[in-house]
Amino acid sequence: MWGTWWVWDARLTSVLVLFLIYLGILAIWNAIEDQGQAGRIAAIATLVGFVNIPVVKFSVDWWNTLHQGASVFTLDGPKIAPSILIPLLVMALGFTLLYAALQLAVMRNEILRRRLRRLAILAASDAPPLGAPALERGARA
Amino acid sequence: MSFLDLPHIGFVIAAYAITSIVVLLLVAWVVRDHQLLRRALAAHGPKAANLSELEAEPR
Repeated sequence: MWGTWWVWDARLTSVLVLFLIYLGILAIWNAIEDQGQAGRIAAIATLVGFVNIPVVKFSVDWWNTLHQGASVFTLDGPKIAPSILIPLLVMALGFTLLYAALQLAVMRNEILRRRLRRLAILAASDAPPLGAPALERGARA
Repeated sequence: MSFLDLPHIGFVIAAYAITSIVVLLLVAWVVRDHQLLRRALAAHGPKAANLSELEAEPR
């Protein structure tokens, strides 16, 4: 136990930076109205932000930190007790599956949303232009 | 000695509780969004279920 809620440790700080990058990408995606442009800029920000991933991974090796060094994926095998390792791996698998399921569900929702938007555009294009007189069938213009 | 006497048990329970609430809210949000979208599509009639059929229709 570290005995503290927060410390400017290399691992904690690099994960904080990752979290801030993630919030920035969400902000970009929501701030720009044109979805195509928002997608392009968010994709570039994601690629730039991905640089931080190896920094998070190797932060415990590069700097002298409170966090322990690599203890799961090492050349000599896991260094942590099975009573912690097994729940850790089960939870990692569980959250990965949850992520995949939610991702698929959100993609399905996005398809429906786009279908709805398309229907609204089709309905609007069939409607008479604003200000045009509504003509009865057979009436003279 | 019950599990409530374990060290840091408050932190462990709080961590599991907050995670459970966040995951449940996330799932509920996605399910609710899906229901609202389905309802909105149903308001456009049965053709709304198949957009390709709708687009093939002569105008």
